[in-house]
Amino acid sequence: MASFEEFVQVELPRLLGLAHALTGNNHDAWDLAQEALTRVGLHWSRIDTGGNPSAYARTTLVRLNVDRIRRLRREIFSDRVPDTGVEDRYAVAIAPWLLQAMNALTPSQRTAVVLRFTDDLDAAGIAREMGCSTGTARSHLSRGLQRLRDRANAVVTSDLEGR
Amino acid sequence: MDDDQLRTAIRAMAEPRDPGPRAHADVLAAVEQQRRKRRVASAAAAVVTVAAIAVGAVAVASQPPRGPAAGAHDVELTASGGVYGFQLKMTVRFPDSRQLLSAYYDIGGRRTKVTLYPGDGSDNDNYPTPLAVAAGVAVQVSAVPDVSCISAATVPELVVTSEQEDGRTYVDRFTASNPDDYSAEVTSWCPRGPYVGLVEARGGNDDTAVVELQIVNPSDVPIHVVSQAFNRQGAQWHRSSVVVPAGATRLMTITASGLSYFATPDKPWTTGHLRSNGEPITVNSR
Repeated sequence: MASFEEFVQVELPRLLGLAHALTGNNHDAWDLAQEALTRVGLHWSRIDTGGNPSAYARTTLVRLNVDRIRRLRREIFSDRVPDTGVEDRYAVAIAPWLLQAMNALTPSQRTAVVLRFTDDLDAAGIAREMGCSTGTARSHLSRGLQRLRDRANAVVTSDLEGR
Repeated sequence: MDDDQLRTAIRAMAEPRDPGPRAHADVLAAVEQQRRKRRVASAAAAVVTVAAIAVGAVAVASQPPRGPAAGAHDVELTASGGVYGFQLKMTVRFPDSRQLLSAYYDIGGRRTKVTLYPGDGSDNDNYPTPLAVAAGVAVQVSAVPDVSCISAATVPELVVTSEQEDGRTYVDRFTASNPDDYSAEVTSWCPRGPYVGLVEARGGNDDTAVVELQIVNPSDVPIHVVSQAFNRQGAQWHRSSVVVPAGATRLMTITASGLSYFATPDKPWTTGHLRSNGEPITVNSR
């Protein structure tokens, strides 16, 4: 049995990465990761002996993000690009338009898209993680992907016209 | 962009991140703090939080059913004004098991109905009505009612209609134990309006854009908000206007054509074309 302290050492960077992909900003990402780990910590003995703490923490984080979305009370499509760009460096180069397009997704769409590609989840899996119906998850994923593809097409068209 | 490219980019966004030197200690301290709180609270039953969201400022025409028993209680009211409105939150408990039938905030006779749903992370399409709550369980009820400067003098009341197992109906009224905090928050928040929140921005392949703004007017007089027509860098923004009554919230839709929405920095609120009673206002203005 690992100690909770060891678990935090290993999982915090991973959770922070997932939270950053889900929220697009460092402040909310940190809040989510800390709250998820706090909840795991409060039930550590039960989770560690009876389950998969890493999976539990990830699901908790995703659900907390859904709660965060609820607190926002409405799906905010934003052209404000919060806390990204300057301080964010990724393992591969990510086109600025894609970062902006991700920030323009609704929080639910963003969550569905991130889970699709980070965990290779289908709509049913995304629904389990988000705690919603499969139909709702499918809708979030489909609309999110469509918006990203629309944006990608617009960029390609713009590039072609610029030549 | 194909799915593989998208997968690569999103996985890069989700790569583990360095949390900083004090992060681990902060997490452990947060856990310890929560444990301490729980020990102090030592509620008789496990506390299950139940949340509620406002479904808008809805005037409830009919009176709630009056039961044989009713109660009045003082609880702390959390009031917080922001860009998207003025949020009220109360956490209440009942001494016995109840089926919660309905709830609303009453501010001087103006009611904001709330919809109850479990706040346990589930996201069902159909929220349970009525909502079963065990004895002693905390119920968090939040709403974003219409609030104006004159509301500072009228402290909200939460009214919950519930039913016991024996079928008796209760109407419980929860009043704020900290009315001065509410009044101070309203007084601080209302003069800084109107507030403009960006609710949605859609850009299509056909070079059109649709922007939806939420305008919160906490003042005691109506405002006339206009997004003026203008052309900039080939983009044509069309005129739109809305009147927001005193202490009310309205949505405003602005359309544009001939542009890629996300590519243009020149939007009505960044160029002085969004005006309230003739004065320029901006999104998320405070």
